[in-house]
Amino acid sequence: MARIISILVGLFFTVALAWSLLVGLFNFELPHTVEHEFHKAPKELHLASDGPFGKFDRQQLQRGFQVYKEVCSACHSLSHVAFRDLTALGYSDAEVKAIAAGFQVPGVDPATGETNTRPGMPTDYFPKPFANDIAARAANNNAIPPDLSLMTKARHEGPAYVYSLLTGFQNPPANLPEANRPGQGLHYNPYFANLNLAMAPPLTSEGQVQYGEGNPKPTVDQMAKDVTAFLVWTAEPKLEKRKQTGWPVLGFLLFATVLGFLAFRNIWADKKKKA
Amino acid sequence: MSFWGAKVITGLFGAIPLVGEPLQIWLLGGFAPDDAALNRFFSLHYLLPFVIVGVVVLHIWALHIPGSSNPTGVEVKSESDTVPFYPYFIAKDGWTLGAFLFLYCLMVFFLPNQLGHPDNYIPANPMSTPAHIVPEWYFWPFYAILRAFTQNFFFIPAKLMGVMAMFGSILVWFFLPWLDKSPVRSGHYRPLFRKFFWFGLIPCMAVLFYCGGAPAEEPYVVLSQIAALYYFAHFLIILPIVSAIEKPKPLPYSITEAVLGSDENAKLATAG
Repeated sequence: MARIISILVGLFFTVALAWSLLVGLFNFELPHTVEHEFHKAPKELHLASDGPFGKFDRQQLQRGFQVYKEVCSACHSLSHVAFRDLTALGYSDAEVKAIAAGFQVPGVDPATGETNTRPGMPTDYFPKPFANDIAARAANNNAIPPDLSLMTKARHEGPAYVYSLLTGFQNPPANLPEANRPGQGLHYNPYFANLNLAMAPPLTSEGQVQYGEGNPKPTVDQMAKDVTAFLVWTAEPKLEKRKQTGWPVLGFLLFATVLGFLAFRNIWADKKKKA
Repeated sequence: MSFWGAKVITGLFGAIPLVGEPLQIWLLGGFAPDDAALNRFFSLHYLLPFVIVGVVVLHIWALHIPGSSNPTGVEVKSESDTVPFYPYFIAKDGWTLGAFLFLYCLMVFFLPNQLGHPDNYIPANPMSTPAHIVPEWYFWPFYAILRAFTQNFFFIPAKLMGVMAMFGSILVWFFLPWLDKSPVRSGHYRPLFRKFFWFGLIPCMAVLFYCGGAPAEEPYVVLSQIAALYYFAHFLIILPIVSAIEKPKPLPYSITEAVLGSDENAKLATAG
């Protein structure tokens, strides 16, 4: 009885699936969209912070911060990062104070209670470039520039994606269908999911950001790498600490597990012996 | 992504005929996951550990009253078939726990985002639906079953079929004692069962796992339909038939014989 019921229930589900499958096979067509054809996987990118022994290159993070400050911050917020966090990049307390003072953050006039702006302090977070989303949309062809704090973790292959996007702007290929050509205020970039994005190429010419003495030449490629390295840091400031802590933990567990395994072998030795 | 995961999961209630839509709104306390729904999720997840404590009590009862089973499926015959929990199983579980923690810490310290999804770092925005909504990795096989139903089945909408199949795919495990009536308890002595298990169920679960994490487009939909079809056929049609027609291999006399190859008691039993 139970057997008959179970086979009937089984037939109910399998026949329903077979029907879906039949229709699926009849209409089978691999998705072939323009995005599938023209979208490219991110370029390869190697950063000092990669790998199990990776460490941040402080000099590069400072250059990346400079690129963010002088280029990206015009449109993109960095709202999860405070100025005081920048000491991790190797800046002294006085330098951080000077950097913070260079930004205007929202404040309140102590005399009248009206909102105004004041110079930033190390405890302040990076200010948002637009008052609200409507202002951000209005200024950017109806696209809100996303916050960059976690950007390298919020995209597949994050760091490589950010680097590829920054260096990937190009003229649309000749065989790109008319419907997918960049419209008014859009820019072609094969690393972007739907090929056209509202952000204009932010890094356009060598020397756009002036690096100090002893730094590599500020080519577009170098600036893109540096700002990517900086955004890897903003997304995970404790990355070094995490990797450094991992090794002793794994070392201890390996030791304890091997010891436990030997104890297990020893204890079970007489039970596994053939009689 | 968690927002959309919550939306999909609570949306399952909407598949119930007639009362689905009002029930979903009542459970969520709104039309979409919002403050009310979030509060309810928190209370639910605060409750779950206490449920787990209850299950632990059940586990201890089951261990001490019906007793534990063993991989051979042969009942304990004499004292020589068993070993005390301490030191034997403490030592065995000790090193396997160490091995597990090693892999666990490897993930925690060196691949913390491997099993996550980048969209979880994007603030929830009800106005912007992600291109591919995927649940956590351990739900992938069941999510693939949910999505495998693409056509209405007579008067049953495809969505309801998918929801029933997804919950059914787990409920079916609870009916295994009635589905598989083989007198032999271990797959080790059941050649036909073993073939269907290793060459049928395991590959089909692997396909469902992969397709559940993939976007809802071809060829993944057709693949998950084939795998889901086998999944239900395996538990509800193949298992009852296999257990009826299969000729199992001879069972060992006791656990001792299964492990060591011979058992003094077995010789005595046959001699006597």
